[in-house]
Amino acid sequence: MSANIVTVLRKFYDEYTTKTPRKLKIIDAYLAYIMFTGIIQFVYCALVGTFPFNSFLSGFISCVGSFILGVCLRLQVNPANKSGFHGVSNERAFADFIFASIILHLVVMNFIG
Amino acid sequence: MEQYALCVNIYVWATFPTKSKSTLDADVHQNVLIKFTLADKSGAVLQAHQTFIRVFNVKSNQEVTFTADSDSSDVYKFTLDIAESGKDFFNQQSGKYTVDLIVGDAIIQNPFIWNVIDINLKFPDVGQTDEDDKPSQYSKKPNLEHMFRVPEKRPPVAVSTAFTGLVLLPLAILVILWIKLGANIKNFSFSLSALGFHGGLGAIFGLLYCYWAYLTMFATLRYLAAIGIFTFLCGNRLLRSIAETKN
Repeated sequence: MSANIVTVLRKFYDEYTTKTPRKLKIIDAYLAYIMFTGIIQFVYCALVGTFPFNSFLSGFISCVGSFILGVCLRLQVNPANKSGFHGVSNERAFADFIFASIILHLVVMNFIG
Repeated sequence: MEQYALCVNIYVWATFPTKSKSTLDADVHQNVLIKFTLADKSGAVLQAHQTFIRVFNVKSNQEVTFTADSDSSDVYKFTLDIAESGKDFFNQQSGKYTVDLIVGDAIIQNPFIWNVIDINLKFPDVGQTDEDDKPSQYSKKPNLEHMFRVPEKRPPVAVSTAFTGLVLLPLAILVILWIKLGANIKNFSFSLSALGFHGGLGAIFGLLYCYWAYLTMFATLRYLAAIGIFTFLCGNRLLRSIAETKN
């Protein structure tokens, strides 16, 4: 059973490294970075306490929002989804991503206290 | 219940009535009973129209006057219930009182007031303090001190510093991953629009920091509009040129 899982995971990893475009890998790295940052913030909150609660919330919301925006960018940039986003170029998607991130972080900074 | 009886025979011809040398002590469990008869010079018992017992507080100069009534055999009798009169008349004021007998009548030529005896009345203190210590509504009230909220307990500095480092760790991993993946930065063109776009983004981040540190929302939005328009124009040109070269 465990051997099966290992082979599945290995196959998955190989497929990912060979078939995924480098652009998407860069976005994935960004997503992983955001996810771990959010997890560490949450662990801190669970272990130590939520004392500056608005600060915790703004940090966590920043992570969640950025993650969602990153996922949206990844969806639009992914060649496999080309049919779904007809007429949306990669550059357009990136510009949207930047714009949304700026708005998000304006709100986050407003909330951080 | 113990009773003190005071029987006094008054001789009207007594020009200088003497005061009793002894002093009575009485508290709320006791009664003071005063009995007296009035007689004229010939010794015949008589009644007067006005016979009063005056109880006078020496210290506070307050006086309470009671009437003394005679019975059928012309004996005047007055009972002072200390517990009850303390509440009703004496304001629960303990201390030395003088008991005076006041006698007057239309047919008595020399009405008199005679200090019969001194008496120490003792009332319980509770009622007394109740009246005195009640704060006046005009007296100065105690100052109200504003209590700031007690700040919550903070974790030790080492813990928060460690977590600050831990939060920054994924950023390092991100940079390493990007380098490993070979992010294409060799294509970076040093055109005006590229510099303007990246510089504008950097400026926006700086502005957000300033907003956090000291700026107000209005000032921030004004600056953001200026920087944002510039960045938007530069980004638009840059991304358009990239898209065109790709096609």
